[in-house]
Amino acid sequence: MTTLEAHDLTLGYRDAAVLRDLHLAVRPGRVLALAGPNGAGKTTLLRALARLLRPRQGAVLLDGRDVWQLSERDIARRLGLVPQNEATEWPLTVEQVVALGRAAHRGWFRPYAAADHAAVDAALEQTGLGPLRARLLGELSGGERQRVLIARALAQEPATILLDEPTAHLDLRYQGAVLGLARRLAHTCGLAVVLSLHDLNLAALYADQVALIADGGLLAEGSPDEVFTAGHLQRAYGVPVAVGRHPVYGTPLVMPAAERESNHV
Amino acid sequence: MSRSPLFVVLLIGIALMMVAAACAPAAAPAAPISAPATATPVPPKPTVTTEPTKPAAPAAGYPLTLKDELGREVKIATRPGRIVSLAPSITEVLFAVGAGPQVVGLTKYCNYPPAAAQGREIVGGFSAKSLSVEKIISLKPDLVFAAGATHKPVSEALEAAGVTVFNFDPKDFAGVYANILAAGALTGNPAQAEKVVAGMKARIEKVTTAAASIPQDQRVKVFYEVWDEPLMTAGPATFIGQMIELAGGVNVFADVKEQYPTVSGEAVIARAPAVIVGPNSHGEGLTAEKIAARPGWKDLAALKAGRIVIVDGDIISRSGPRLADALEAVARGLYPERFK
Amino acid sequence: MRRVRLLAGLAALLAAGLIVSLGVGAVPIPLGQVIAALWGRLTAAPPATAQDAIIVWDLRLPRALLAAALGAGLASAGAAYQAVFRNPLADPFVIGASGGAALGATLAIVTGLPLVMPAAFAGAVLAVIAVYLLAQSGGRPSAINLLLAGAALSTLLSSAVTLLMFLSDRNLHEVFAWLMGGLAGRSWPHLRTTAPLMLAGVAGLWALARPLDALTGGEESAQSLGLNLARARFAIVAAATLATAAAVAAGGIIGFVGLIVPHAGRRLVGGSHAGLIPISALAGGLLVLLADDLARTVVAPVELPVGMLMALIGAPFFLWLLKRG
Repeated sequence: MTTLEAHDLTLGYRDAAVLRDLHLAVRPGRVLALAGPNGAGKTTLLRALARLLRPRQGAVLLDGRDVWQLSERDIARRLGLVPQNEATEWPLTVEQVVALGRAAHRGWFRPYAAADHAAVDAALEQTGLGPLRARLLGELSGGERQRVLIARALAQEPATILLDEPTAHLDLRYQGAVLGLARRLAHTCGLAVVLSLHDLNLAALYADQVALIADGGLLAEGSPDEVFTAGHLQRAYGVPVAVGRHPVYGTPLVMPAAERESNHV
Repeated sequence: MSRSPLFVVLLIGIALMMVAAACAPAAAPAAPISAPATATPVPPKPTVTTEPTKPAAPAAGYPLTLKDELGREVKIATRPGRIVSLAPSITEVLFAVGAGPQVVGLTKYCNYPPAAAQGREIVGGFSAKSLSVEKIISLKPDLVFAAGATHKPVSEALEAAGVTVFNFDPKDFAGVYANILAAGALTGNPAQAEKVVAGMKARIEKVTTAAASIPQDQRVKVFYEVWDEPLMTAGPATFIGQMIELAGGVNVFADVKEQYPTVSGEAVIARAPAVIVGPNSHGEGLTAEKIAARPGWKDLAALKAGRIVIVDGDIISRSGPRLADALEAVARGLYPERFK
Repeated sequence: MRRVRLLAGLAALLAAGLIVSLGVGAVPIPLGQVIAALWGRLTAAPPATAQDAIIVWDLRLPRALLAAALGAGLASAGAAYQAVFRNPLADPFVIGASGGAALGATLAIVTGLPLVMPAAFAGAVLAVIAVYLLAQSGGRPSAINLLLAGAALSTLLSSAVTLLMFLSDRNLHEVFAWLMGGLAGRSWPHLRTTAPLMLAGVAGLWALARPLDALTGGEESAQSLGLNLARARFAIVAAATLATAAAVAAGGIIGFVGLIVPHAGRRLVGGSHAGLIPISALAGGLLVLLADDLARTVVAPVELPVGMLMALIGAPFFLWLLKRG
């Protein structure tokens, strides 16, 4: 059963098409990683899936219905978006930010009820933010802020959650924490999780499915083993790669295989 | 944005507004008030009936050198045949001393004598920016009379072009007399000037003597309203302020330092004037109904007694020969039984 | 809850400020007299014809209430715009309301029509509508486009005002006085017509607290939370403009309140608008009230324009805020 689907999707900005005729299906209970070179369209695809970008052709379907036929609130009840970076100068507390996720259900004017407070608490707990709930967003570290945004999306109690480069500005400590959380949300809570990653090894380690986006389309789709082959990656990135095995988990480990010194960029 | 009809509408709207402003109700332009933005604190005590402190005009004859109000020494070689006046008060002075035929240029506000503008060129309005230096120079004037500091940019430009400029900027009656005599000397009409000054002094003395006999406790409290929005009054240093005192009245705002300050309605109510005086340029706003409609004003003594006096705004504010008329009008307005 | 206590405290302070305002001015009236005057009028006891009663009831009371309402409206609108535009320098006039009001008022003054207040209100509303439409015609309607269109139109409008002032020599004092902002001569009629609009605007913005919170994270983020951006932006601008247009119609251009009070409010209660809007409203009302008191007393019997006084108070405060970082 798919929750989110892209059909014949052609996406672009102004005159240039970034992606063409793309098909993608997102299933619950699994982590799908969007991988590929920068500029290939991972974020573009994610924004289209989140109903932030209108497709030039094709459609994005949520539970079988075109997302552009649904209202913002309908979408928000079923789909949560965790953006890459958000302005943090505004003095809202963690709890206040996470509580915004409840507007999808409670509406923008009705006072929050017990169910809402419970959902907020649950989201905070899942992301380990309980002790930080009264802190201001601006006082937190990058990793903590990312978790707040995840908690906010969780407070929406969505069936699907999209994360745009969730590890982009995090150091080693938090990369594992955030991605581990994403995996747990899929496997334990049954959410459909889609995340875009530029780090191929993290994708291999944490994703159940990988969609390799390059050259304006979907180059390969499948398990990390199926997608992360030297052939696929060389086509995608245009440089020779070597693929090994992760020493602990056995998942593909991608390393550049080009010359170690070069004359030009 | 060129696709937006809204922009076209905006442009048309602005064009319409410019037309509206240019065709704004063409009532007779009121005598311009000196801008309160440049409120120069002037010592509040007017000297009035004393003799002019300046030296009396020298005997007729050219060449002569006189010091003007700004302290500049101005040399006149021969009798000027082409004079330009940059202020309505100066125009009145010139015509009063008989120098009318010598005047070739004046401002658009110079409406007295009524026929003054006939056959003469208009050189601009009252403020410096509205006067055309080119126009003035094109008239080839022998002598230009300016109104002091407000006309500085114009005077400087004229002098740089070789035109002689003399400034009139009197602060009190003594200054006005001195100016009239100076005008007589400069234009070659000293005898007529002396007559004008003598006539003024006689009429003013008549009023002040009568006023002096009014006992202190019977002196009426006066509120002079220049304008209502904002509520502006005249301080004691202005001519109207001086005239109120001279006519035996008491300006309720005799304690302010500015010339035309904006005051609060509360203060007027608290000071309880018995008479409200205002210029005819503000006449429409100075009706009993309009004043009564102001919050808190309807119980004013002046309103209850119906004592609202409108005076000719031109004669009140122009520092010229008609000040005597003005003083008589004010006295009549304040004490209708004493001054007929 | 701390927030509730703070609100109650400010409300009490505002009430006290109102009473104090009734006693200060060109004519100092002791507190006892003030109470007596109010009581006399309210209970229709011996007809209060004493001067003090007139000053307190006809002049100062409506004026003080108007000052408070005006401050509340402007501060709330400022807070809302700072959220919508995610710009700490936004104020209620940022999308053209002041330019439009100034033009309306100047036109009315210059053509001699006794319609200055309605003209100012209409001018403000029309200017914002124009900015709104301009922002949409420029492409995707968004906060940035609104700001840009607002800046462009404001410049255009203020040059139009300057041109009108230049072309029409007379009535300059009245135009200046209006532009510098002031409550001189304002009484019950002004209060009755404009205060309800200002308070309606404040109430509307308070109701929109949650969308405002969502917008502080950015438009896309707010949309992903389920907010219909177009409707939210429209509602917020409508409520804020209602308050702003009414404020400007009543008191001319009074700056700084809308800019500074929300900053102070955020320091006190944080950025959640459920608390920020009411706090800003109360604090804004208090500030304008105090400024008007000063305007009436500092060089009595001369009255200073409130807008000018606000700028004098506001600028150093702003610099201090800058210093604190």
